[in-house]
Order: sequence, then structure tokens, then C-alpha cells
Amino acid sequence: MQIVGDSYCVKYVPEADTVYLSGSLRLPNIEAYQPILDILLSAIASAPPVITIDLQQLQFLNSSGLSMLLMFVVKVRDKGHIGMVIKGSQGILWQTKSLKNLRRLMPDMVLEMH
Amino acid sequence: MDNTVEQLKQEIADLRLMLQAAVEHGDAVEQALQSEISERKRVESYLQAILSAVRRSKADLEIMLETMAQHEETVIEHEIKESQQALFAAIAEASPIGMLVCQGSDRLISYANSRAMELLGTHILHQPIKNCIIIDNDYHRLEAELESAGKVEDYEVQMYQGDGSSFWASACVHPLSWKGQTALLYTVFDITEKKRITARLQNSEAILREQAQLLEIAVEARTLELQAAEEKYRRIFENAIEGIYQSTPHSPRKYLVANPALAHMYKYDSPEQLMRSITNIDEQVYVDRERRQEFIKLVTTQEKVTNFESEVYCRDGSKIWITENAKAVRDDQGNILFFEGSVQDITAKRQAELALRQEQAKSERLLLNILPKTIAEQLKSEQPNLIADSYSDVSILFADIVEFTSFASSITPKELVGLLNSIFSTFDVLAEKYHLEKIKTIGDEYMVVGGLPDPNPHHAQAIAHMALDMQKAIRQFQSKFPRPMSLRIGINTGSVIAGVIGQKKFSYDLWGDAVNIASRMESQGEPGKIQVSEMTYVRLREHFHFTRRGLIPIKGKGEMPTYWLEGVKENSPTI
Repeated sequence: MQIVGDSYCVKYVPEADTVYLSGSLRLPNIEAYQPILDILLSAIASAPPVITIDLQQLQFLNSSGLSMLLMFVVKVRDKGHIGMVIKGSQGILWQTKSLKNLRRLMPDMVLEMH
Repeated sequence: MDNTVEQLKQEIADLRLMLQAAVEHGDAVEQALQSEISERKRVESYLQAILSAVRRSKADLEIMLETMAQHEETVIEHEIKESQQALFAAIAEASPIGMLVCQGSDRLISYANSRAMELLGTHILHQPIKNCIIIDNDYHRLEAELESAGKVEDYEVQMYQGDGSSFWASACVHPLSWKGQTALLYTVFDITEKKRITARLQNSEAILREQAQLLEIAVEARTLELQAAEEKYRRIFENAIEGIYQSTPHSPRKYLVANPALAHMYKYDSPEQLMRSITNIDEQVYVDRERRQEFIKLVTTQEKVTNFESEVYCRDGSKIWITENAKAVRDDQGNILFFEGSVQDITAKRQAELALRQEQAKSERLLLNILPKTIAEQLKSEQPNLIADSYSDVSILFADIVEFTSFASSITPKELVGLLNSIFSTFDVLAEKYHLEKIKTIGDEYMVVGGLPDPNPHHAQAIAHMALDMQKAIRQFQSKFPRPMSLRIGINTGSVIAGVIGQKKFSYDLWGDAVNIASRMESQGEPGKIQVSEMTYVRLREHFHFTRRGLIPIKGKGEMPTYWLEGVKENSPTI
């Protein structure tokens, strides 16, 4: 299951319980992110023990996008008994700054910066 | 009291009822309260649950807000960087200068604008920039300068073009922040044309330098020539006998230049002294102001003035005469820059001229004494051997002092000559008076003629009056001396030739029969009497008294009647 846009790509690989986000996400508002949120939610629908979100190729994410991601983290946390791993890139500036804040929402989260 | 007790019992019963009611009410209320309390407790726990959920959400929101805020900053930073990049790219693409961004110690080209690709080829991306530089040593020096100064400016270096050929470039290197990392910006400017022009200029410069050297040599030679010429003219100027000067054109006029001759002429020790002393030429040097103004006017209006004579003051106040040639020197617009002139001292010459003129005048007077004016003019203008004119109608008078030589014995020679001088001088005055021409004296004989050299229709009358006055005059002399003196006078009228002959000691004389006849009249006359010929008688008989004398033999002409002139008639007009 995937969404390909002009400058981005969101792909869910169920076998790996991983959702890959790549490119540059600049959707105008939170409503526009609903399809992507749906993919994320479908990934946790089957209640896997761990869900991995791979952002290593996501060069850019705007504020609306980040807020969507934050809300997803809260949802995972609130569901309970689902672990979360977020993979990020040291080379992408916003990731080095913003991803660590996700841990504050969900201290159990594993953050891997490559 | 019963009422009261009844009342009281009733009241107590009421009170008991009320109390029961109240207790029952209280129980009911308590039950209600209890259920209220448990309800409230239930709500409270419900609210607590909500509250904790809200608290959690609030915490989440706080985290989210903070995260968002930070992210916003990051996004903005990112956007700025992106737009900067875009701007850079736009500028770089529009630039006519090749721009390369190199990263790493290898200086790999991570970005090249279109112009850079044009200049260096399209293959250069991701190559080390060293590959573009032809001479390795050039690259190393570039690196060295970059290391020491932190930047490089206007580094001229040969680089490879896309096709492998070389060209000259001017390169600059500056540090640059590129996509968050340190990098180097290389700018490359094609200076092939400039180099060519510079080479040509250098070539021209070399040629010019050579020419300049040749010119210098020529100028030096010319300067020497000019110096020699200047020396030559300076010598002429310094040694000239004539005074030479230049003066300012406008009043007060001063000398700009003067040579030694001028200074000495004006009795100054040196040209410098002259130039210092004279602060106003018009007032200090020239004697006649008006003449000087005339000179100024001529010099400024005419092309030049020559031989203008003036009197000037010397240093010691003495005056000399000078002759001056001068002209006004003008600039292109016709404005006068200065006067230039030469001066000669003509004082001596002028005096000599004056003396000469005086001598000439004297000579002239002397000549006119001897010759009639018209004859003198003729003599002066021509180179004649003969001046002779014929006059058809003149009257000739001869007068002889009777027995003059007998006086010689009675008086000294000196007295004798003095007497003769007095008599003849008196006759000369009379001749002047009657406009007659005295010809000559021969010893004690006096000859005068009327009607020449200028025609005079009344010549006979004039001669007659003269003759009468001469007889009167001699009588005055007579009274001075013991012995009586008398004149014999003879007059004739006719044609004569008059002229000057000979080369030396010439005089104006008359020839012709008329002259001889006049002489006969005198020699055949009587002392104290005036004998006239027929021809003269015919001319004079209207205005004068005559008595007939008789016949006189004339050589070659036979006999001629003659007459004595007695006196003038009253009706005769004065002449």
C-alpha cells in the first residue's frame, strides 16, 4: 500500500511492519495528510508488537505533516502494547532537531538516527 | 388554666407531629443527600478520569506545540536555505562569469553554472578542479595563496577549454557555505582577449618606447640646433649697433626687452638698468607727448611704422634725436601682445642734415644772385651745355660812368671800389624796384634788361623809369664828391638771345643786334643824358617826352634816328 505524490512517496510494507516515507512532504493542511495518516493507522490496525516508521529518505516535512506524525505517536501510545521504532537520518537537519521530541510523547519509543 | 393546658397539649402534640415529620423529612433528605453524594462521587471520579485524560492530552499538546515551534524554526531555516540556493542558482546561471562550487580537499566540483560549462566543458562536474588547470605548478601556487590569505583574487592562470585547447583565465577563490557545508566558490573569467590586447599594447609600448628614444635623440639634436640658433641671434641682439626693444602695449608702457645698444644710446649702464628705471616710456622717454601718441596710434593701426623720428630724453636728462621702426605683435585673436622695434641715434645725422640744408640754402641764394630763378632751375635740373632762349621783344639799357677812371687818381683804390659798389648797389635796388633783370657790370658800365626772363609788356616803360631814376641817383653821388659824376645811358628795344654759356664762371648774358645797338646808344650818348633808339622811341613816345637827337651811324645798319629821353608825361600810368 502506498501513496506517490509529486515529490514524495509513502509506502507500507506489511511484512516488515514498516512504513517508508521519502521525498519532500509539503501538503497544505492537516486534512490533506489524512490519506497518509490512514496508511499509518492501517499499519497498527493489526496490532503488531512493533511498528517501524522509516524517515531516512524524508528530506523535508512541513508543520502540518509533523503534527500528523505527532498525533499518530499519541495514538500508538494510547493503544498500548505496540512498540514503535523511528528511523531517521543524521544528514537531514530537521530530523536531528525535531525527532527527539517524539520521544517525549512516547518515552518507550526507540529512535534510531543513522 | 385548662385552656392553657389544652393549648399546651395541643401544642405538644403538634410539636410531636412536626418533629416526626421533620425526622421523616430529615431521613428522606438524608437519603436524598446520600444518593446525591454517591452520585457526586460517581461524577467526580468520572471528571477525574476526564481530568487525567485532559492532563495527559495537555501534556501531549504542550509537547506537540513545542515540537511544532521548533520544527517551524527548522522549516524556516530550511526554506531560507532553499531560497538562498535558488537565488544563488539564478544569479549563477545569469552570470557571464564562470562559477564553480568545489568541496573537500580534492576540490571536487559539486556545482558549475552554464558559463563555467561553456568555458571548461560539460564534463567537469564531480571532477577535481585541478584537472582544469594546465600547469600543475599554477594549481599549487593557487592553493598556497588560498591557504595563506584565505582567498585568492585576480589570479591569472591557463585553463583547459571543453575541447582541450587552452585559454587564459582570471580566477578568484572565496569560501562559501554550500547546503550547510563549507565549500569554495571559484569564479573564472576569460581574459584571452584582454591578454591579446595587453600583448599588443606591450608591443606598441615597446615600439613607442623605441620611437620615444629616437624622438629624444632628435629633440636633443634639435635643441642643440636651437641653442646654436638662439646663441647666434642672441649675439646679434647683444652686439647690434641699433637699439632693439620690446615694450608692453598698454599704458603705463615698460620695456620688456632691451639690448645693450639701446641702453647705451639712452646713456644707461645696462639694459637691466634701463628696464628698471623706465616705468612709463610715454612720459619718461619721449619729449613730445603728442608725437608719441601719434606714434602709438600708427603702430596700433598700421602693420608697421618706419623711420619715425622723435626726440627722446637720456638718463642724464640730455636730449637726442632717434629714428624708430616698430610694429605691434599680436596673438591669434588680434590682441596686441607687445610692441617691437629698433632705434637709431640720428642726432649727428640730423645736425649734419641741418647744416647741409643751410649750406644748400646759401648756395641757392648765391646761385639766384647770379642767375634768374627760371634759368637756375633749368641749370639745376638738366645737364646742359647751352641754355639759350630767344626773346623777340625786350629793352636793353647800358649806363656808363663818365671818366670814372679819372676819379681813380683822386681817391684811394679802396675808396674807389667802395664808391662803385655803392653806385651799382643803388642801381640794383632800382632794377629790383622795376622788375628788371640786371645782366652785368663791365668795369664802370652797368647793363640791365627788361622783358625777360619773364615776359613783361611794359618793359620799355620800366627801363625808361629806371634810366630817369639812375640819372637822379647819380646826381646824389655827385654832391658827395668835389668832381662832378655823370652817366651816359643808352636804351634800345628788340630781340635778343639770352642764356648761359660755357662750363666755368658762367653768367646770364644777352646776344644780338639789339644789344649792340643799345651799347652804341650809350657810347654815342652825352653825359647826363639818356639816348634811345627809334624802336624804343616808338614804344615810349605816348607816355614820355622826347627831343630828337639826329642820326647816328650804326655798324652794318647805316644811320638810325635817335632821341633824348627828357621825362615822363603827367598822364603816364604808374608801373
